[in-house]
Amino acid sequence: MTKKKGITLDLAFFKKNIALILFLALLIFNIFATNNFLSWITFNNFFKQVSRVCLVSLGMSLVIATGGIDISVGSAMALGSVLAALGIVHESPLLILFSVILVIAFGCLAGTAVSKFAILPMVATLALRYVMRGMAKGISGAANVTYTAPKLTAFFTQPVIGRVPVHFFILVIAVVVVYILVNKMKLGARIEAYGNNPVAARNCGINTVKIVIFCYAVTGALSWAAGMLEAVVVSSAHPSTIGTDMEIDAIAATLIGGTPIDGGYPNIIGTTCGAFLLQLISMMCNMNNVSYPVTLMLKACIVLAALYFHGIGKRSR
Amino acid sequence: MKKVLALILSLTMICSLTACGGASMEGENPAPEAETEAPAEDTDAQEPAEDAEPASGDATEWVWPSKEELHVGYAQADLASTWRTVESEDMQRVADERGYKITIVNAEGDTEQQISDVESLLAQGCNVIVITAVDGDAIQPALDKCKEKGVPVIMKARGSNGVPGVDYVTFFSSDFVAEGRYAGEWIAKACADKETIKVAEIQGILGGTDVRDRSGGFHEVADKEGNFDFVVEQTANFSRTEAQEVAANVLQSTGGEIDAFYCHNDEMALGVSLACQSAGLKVNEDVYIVGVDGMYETFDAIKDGTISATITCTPKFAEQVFDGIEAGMAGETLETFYAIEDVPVDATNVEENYDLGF
Repeated sequence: MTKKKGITLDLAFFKKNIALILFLALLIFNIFATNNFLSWITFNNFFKQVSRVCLVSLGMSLVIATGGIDISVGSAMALGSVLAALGIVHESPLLILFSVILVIAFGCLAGTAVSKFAILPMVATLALRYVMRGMAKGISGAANVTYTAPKLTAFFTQPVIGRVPVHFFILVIAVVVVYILVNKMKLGARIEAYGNNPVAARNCGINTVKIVIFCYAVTGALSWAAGMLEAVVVSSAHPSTIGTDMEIDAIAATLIGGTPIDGGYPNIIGTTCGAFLLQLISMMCNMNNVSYPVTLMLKACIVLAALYFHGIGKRSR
Repeated sequence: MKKVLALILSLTMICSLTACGGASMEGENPAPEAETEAPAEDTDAQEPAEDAEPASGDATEWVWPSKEELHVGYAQADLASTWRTVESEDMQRVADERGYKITIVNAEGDTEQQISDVESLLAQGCNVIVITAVDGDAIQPALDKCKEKGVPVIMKARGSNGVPGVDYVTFFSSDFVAEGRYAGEWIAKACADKETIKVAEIQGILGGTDVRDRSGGFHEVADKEGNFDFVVEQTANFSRTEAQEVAANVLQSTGGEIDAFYCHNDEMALGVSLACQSAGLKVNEDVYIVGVDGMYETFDAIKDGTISATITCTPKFAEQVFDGIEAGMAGETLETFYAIEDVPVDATNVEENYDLGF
């Protein structure tokens, strides 16, 4: 009996921290295996590159925790960044503000469709995915929007406080804020309750509509920020390439992190580690010249491995 | 229900992660600017001449109009990139200059739409049809309609998988292999003093003919030269940001020891340029960056010295298409395939070739 208990404990530990464990293992592997890995430049590159997928994944975790899914995040990134880039070109802060509001409004729309009109999240966000990508292309005439704003570009490309990139601080703030929202406030419990059993949650007096709309809106806002980060590095926003396949990476990061895909507790730290893990694989493959198909297969293996560990816990319950 | 959905989603995701680099669940084409030009997925369309020797009896009798009666109908595939927009504008411009009547329609990437577009062009009395096919196979019913009436069809930029001479007259397209070859030759020449040339190839969305051929042509030259060392072969999916990141990563791992970057499009070349600059490398001194496309932005970057060279893949070849139509009207026999001659552009000839840009 005691032996069996020990095994369950181990599994529970693995289940909870699998993303972190895999990330650390891969990190250590890279420190030894990859040329020039241990350096400030790699640190900088890593945080600049991971910030987008991490931001979007945070939002995705909330949405997935409600039992939903948002496949419009890539399009939201494109629409937000193209509009904002146009705002910079025409020196109109109003347009930049409008770009945030618009993307968040689309998030609210998705949330309303899902919670009020019982449209499947996949269907609702699929529609928005086309709408927002289409708008981005329409507004820009399907051409990339290039702007010159040396100060802005320098702010995001030059490290601050010596050696740390701005992205690092943006990321820390975002993770901490979402973590507190979920774990230290009632919101997290409500999301979890809704994700586990929407009817019961509603019967307990939780304003479920509000909760769901909030989650999709936050995802919209985070997608906008991610789109901006993608555009600002190269001072140009391309309506077709920005955010492509972002939903896939964000869903993968969320699953690796341990948020159940059919709803439940959003594991924010897990998601963060999941995003870090995926980006580290990309980076490792770049730095060691591993071909792209192999990179994708590696990512798939990691997703499977993580799902396997999460699955064990579930079955033993 | 939820479990089924969850299962489907996980499967979809895993499949997307493994199977497809580019367009996973995309209905729209995520590819940027100029890379999708010319026969998109149809591998046969580039070399129609070889396998297509129709028995003379099968050859369609095309009815060419007289110069005065010429009414060209142009069925454009979509206007979802600058390249295509410029392509349509160029057709309009040349038709106006030469005083021909032209009607341009746009299928918005929809095959069915394109077939009915061609039908309506025929109904409007167009007597020469130019098509940039959405899909090389699915366009066949439209070609059959034209064949019935003997209306000559010219494929432009994106071909048909039908038989030239029978299903259509001829095909005008950029030659991606030649573009790759030019890039290889440019780098070989620029690095002539080096014993081995350390090359980084930044590829587009894997799976397209554009990527296959631009890479193939480049490797042809590399094999011939024998001193190309491919230290990096990574994809950046035609995206400027991704290219910037990939380049930053490989510059770090190789310690900046790369002589030349060859990028499958200009967007990526511009991203690589940013990464090189922030890694403290001087373009044209420490490293050469070569792209393909010939965007105005790249031409300006060549002038500024932040990009070394680009190989044009111009959307402006309406002149050649109309030359072909005029030759057909004059009773000449047309070849089944015309490759559009592209030009390597660097600081020495950027001014004179600026108009090829888009």
